[in-house]
Amino acid sequence: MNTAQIIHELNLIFEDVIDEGKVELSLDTTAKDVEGWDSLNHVQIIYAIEQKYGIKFSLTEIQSLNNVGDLVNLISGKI
Amino acid sequence: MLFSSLSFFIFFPIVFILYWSLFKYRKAQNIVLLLASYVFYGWWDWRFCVLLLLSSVFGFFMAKSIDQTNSQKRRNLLMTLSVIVHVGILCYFKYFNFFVSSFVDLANSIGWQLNFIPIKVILPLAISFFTFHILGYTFDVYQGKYRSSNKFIAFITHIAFFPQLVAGPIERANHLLPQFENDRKFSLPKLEDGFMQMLWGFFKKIVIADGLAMQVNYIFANYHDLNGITIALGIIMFTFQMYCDFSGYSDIALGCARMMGFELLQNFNYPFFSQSISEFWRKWHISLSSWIQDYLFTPISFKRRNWGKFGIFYAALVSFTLSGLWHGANWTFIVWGALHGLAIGYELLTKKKRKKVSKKFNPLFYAVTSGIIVFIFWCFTQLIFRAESLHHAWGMLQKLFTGDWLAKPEISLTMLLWIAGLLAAEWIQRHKPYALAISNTNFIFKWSVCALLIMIIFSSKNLNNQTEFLYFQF
Repeated sequence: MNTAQIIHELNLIFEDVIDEGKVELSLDTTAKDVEGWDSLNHVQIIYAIEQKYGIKFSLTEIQSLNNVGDLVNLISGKI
Repeated sequence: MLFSSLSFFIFFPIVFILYWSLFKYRKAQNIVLLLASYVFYGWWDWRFCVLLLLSSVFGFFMAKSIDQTNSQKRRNLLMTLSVIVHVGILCYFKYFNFFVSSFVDLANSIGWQLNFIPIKVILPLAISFFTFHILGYTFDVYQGKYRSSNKFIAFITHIAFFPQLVAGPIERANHLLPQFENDRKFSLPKLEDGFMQMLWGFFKKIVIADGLAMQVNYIFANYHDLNGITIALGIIMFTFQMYCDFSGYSDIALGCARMMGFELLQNFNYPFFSQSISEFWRKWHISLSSWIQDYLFTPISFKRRNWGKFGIFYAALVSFTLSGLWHGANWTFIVWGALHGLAIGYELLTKKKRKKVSKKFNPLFYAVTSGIIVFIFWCFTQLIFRAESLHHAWGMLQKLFTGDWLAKPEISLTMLLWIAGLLAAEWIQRHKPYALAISNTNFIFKWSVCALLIMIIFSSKNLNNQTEFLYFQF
């Protein structure tokens, strides 16, 4: 699966969990750039990603993410 | 040593001159700061210094051992040992009597006949702050966020650094430690800005917090004999006393550190303009709430992520209850923390519904109403926080609702005017890091304002009647 496909699917997951309208992520996007992406729903987003791809993250992995690019790399490494 | 004491007014200029006169020798500067910090801390009781030094040395070597081992089992073991030792020390000094006496009370209530004589333990000042600082560093090294420090003097100095030692901000090693490992440059604008933030902190502490303290103490001690409106105003006054006391301390700490070329974490960001409890906690004691978020809330919610939103509700409740307990060994703090956990959990579960409701109202009306509700909830929980016991809080609440609300309030109007003035200044300056951040304005204007504040502080009768910073007890 390529990066563009993962980002497209992440947009849908973010829109569903955050429920703040359309989300357009890029590799450089950070939590500050997306309205409603806060610590309270970050874990829910991570769980939705785990369910979608049938993968598991560790706490250290999710705490070391700096932007969507890191998240995409993490997902690609596991699927 | 109190920031607002005469000793500090002699201590700080000496340290400042000595520190900057060694600007070419970073290591010597660090040693000056290390010695100054231990003198500052030992001013209360020299025995405290021993515990601080032992905790710092233990933290340094444990993080190093964790970093140097590749075996995950060994890393887990060392991390667990660190938690046991640091939390164990904290529990012994702070919570031992509380836990045992609570257990004995519970046992007696079910018919067991147990006796407990509390042991005499001195509570070392700042223990909760430096324990969290060191534990946060160890966790970060354990999680591989960054490598352990090799610079022993820089490390123990950054833990003991006197502006932040006693009541925070609870620093993160990756923010403060590199500042000790690199050269600091003398900067006149920073010096001026630091001085202004210190001045603002002294004003909030000496003029407002200490001015409110006497009336608040009277109202909380004599609520039986007071009318409802006086009690209500007393609770509001305590809310502002706590804010001015604690945020005043933080301003002094940040300003003092900036004058020596360091930047500490922002600890307050105009919390009284928040429209939700979650927002309030992003603006109140920020260094503690972000610590709780990173090391308690996120791990717990991650572990319970398959519970959906209830997992986050559970994580909020547990984290905030523990943050309440961090403040002290009393059921009032635990209930206070749990109430905030419940409020945040409620906000999370009703986020979508509240958003829909908000669209039916005028945005300004909705914002103001939300702000008022948040303020009332905060004041209500501050009553529990300040009370000696849950029984005391309950008694005050009963009297608050049954007492006369139409009677004349028995409080000083001057202090209410100071509070109004403070809020006005904060609203005007709400996009600045602190309300007296005016160093970029006209020379005459800024120094006239500073001169006026200095005159107000020195003419305040509170100067001779100061109280300790409230957060020192935590």
